[in-house]
Amino acid sequence: MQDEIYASALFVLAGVWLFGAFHHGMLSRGRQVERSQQLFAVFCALMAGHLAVRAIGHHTLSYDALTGGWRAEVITAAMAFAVLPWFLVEFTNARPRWPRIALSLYVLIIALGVAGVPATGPLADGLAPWHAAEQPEAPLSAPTLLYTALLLGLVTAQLDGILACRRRYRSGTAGRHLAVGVALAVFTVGTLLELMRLLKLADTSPAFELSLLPALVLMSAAVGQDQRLNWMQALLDHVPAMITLKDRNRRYLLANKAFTDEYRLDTARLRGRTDRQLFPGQDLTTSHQADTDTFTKGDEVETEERVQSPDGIRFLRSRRFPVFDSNDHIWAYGCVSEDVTASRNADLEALELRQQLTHMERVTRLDAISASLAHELMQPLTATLSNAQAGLRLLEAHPLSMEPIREVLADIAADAKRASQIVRTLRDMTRHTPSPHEPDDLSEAVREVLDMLGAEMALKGVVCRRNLEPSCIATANKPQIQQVLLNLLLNAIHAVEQQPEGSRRVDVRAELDESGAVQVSVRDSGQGIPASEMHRLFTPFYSTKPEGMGIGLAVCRNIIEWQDGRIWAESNEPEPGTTFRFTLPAQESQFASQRAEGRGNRS
Amino acid sequence: MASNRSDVSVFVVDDDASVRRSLLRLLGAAGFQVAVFDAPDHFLDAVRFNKTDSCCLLLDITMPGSSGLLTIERMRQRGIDIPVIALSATDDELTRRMAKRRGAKLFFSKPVDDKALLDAIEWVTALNQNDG
Repeated sequence: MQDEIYASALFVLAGVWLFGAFHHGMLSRGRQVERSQQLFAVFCALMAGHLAVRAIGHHTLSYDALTGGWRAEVITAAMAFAVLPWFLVEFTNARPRWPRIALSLYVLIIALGVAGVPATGPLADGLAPWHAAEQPEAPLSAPTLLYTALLLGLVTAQLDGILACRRRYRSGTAGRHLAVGVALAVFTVGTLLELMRLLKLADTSPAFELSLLPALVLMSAAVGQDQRLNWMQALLDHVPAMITLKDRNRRYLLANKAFTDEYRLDTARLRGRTDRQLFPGQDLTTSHQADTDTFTKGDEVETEERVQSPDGIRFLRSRRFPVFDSNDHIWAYGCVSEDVTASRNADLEALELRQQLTHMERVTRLDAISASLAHELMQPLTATLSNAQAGLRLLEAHPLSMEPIREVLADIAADAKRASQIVRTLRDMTRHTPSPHEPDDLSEAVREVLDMLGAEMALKGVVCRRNLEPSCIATANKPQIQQVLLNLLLNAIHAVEQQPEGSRRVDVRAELDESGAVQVSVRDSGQGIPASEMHRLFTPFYSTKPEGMGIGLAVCRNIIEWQDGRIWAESNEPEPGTTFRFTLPAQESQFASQRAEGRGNRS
Repeated sequence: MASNRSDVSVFVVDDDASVRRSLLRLLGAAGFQVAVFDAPDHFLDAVRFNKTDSCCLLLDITMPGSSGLLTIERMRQRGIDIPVIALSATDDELTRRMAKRRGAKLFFSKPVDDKALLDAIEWVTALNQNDG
């Protein structure tokens, strides 16, 4: 009766394995999946066959049928176990391949041996001493020794597979290797129990068959996951952005095609490796910092990076985000990077063009102004000089004729007036037209300028930190203040450009100082300005840049001072670089000064 | 060849009235016969001779409209061959080069010193006399 139940259970198990074979066979049908999927289907099918044969064996009672059953049982098991090392090699990518393939050949040779050994006779007795000793009346001896050898081969393959899975799991690849490793361990325990039964150490008859069930379920789930991964991989591969997933130890779990193509990497080679291993000798400071930030903040981090790829320097806009497990622990983080090199280059070109244009424009405008100014001024000067000299000659020739001299002097006076008028007109022309001063949030004004320069800073590897307090309200002419800021920031960028990458920093702050005035500061990490030059900075036509005209800071000072502010520069000593600061009266002090004016008028 | 300043006629073409008047006074006081014109066209219309030793043209070559430089060419086309002294309120390399190429004998940048100008007039008109 127990045999009946046992046989039925075996049939059910065979059915389950058959379903596994069918399931994985269907999954791999017509799709490009890893070969391990197909090998697993074959393995399932052979195991189903083996279990079915075992179940049938329990129903037969005739001696010959029992012998034939044993033979078929061992042969089907051997074939299934011959597929197992192949599957494991494909699944874990273990190297070298040949010992594993040899193992499966060894198992196949045993299967052939089982098929070839006669049921009775001295050879059979010699090969199966234990079985003969236990059941002398049933000379089913031949397969037993071979079966033992077969199981030993199987255990070897299983242990090797467990170790390979452990290696893969340790190297950071997904949990499916863990699942397969555990399944293999269960399977190995079952196999060892079966060996004990064969060696008469214990009666563990259903353990082997039963161990197969959890092994199948775990393995099937894990191998099936591979199919889901492929599907996800296919999706990811068709996204133009570069996508990667790394584990906590910064080892790659997956990467899409855009990424592997960009860096000419092999997907199989990439898994389980770190950036340092994949990109030796590259400066990875920015991306490492971003990785660390993602972990410590546990939040999204967006960066612009400059990286060296086989195609040259690329600019990436990357978004890194943590991936949480069900316990809200970060177990990995993803990174989606967009190649913005093209637009950056366009920005750069536009920027260079703009800079060239403004410079050209300034130079030509100045040139034109000075030329026309010279021409305009020379005319009255010519007339004045000639008149004066004519007057002298007239006096010499006709000392008493006053009328020509009077005319000469009148003309000289008129020309002098004309010359001074020309100068006055020019001054009016170049003077800034006064525009209304409105209470304005300077932080906002600063932010706008920073946003405008964001691309340029990223392009030049300048890290800009901003610390803008909200209520920095000052009564000022916003466009002019922004012009000052633009000037200071461009100077700062210029100052840090020559520094090594990583130490190009510009800090911008907007805050209220102790007197209540709004103070804006631009601090750079450049090489600094010698103390002896400091006092000349705001002097017109003084410049430290070879191509500079030396009017930028002079204009800045004019603008700030017109608005009742103050601008100055100070060294960051002992740190490198210079800080430019300007203050503008806050809104209230403006009212105060208006009141003061009112009193002044009355008195 | 003229032997006396009063035998030498100096034509002045300048668009600036004040400059014209001052040159008229200066050259007149120095003893030259002077005629002033406010535009090259007026000068060209007024000229009734072709070639003479005893006159020269003081030409402002940086005038708006019909540029002074073109005047020399138009003069040559009409066969008027008198020495030209170029005056210019714009003193740059290009203007100097153009003046020379178009055939100005001398170039002065404004304002011009009376002594230098009078010497130049005497030189181009080959007047052998010193103003003292």
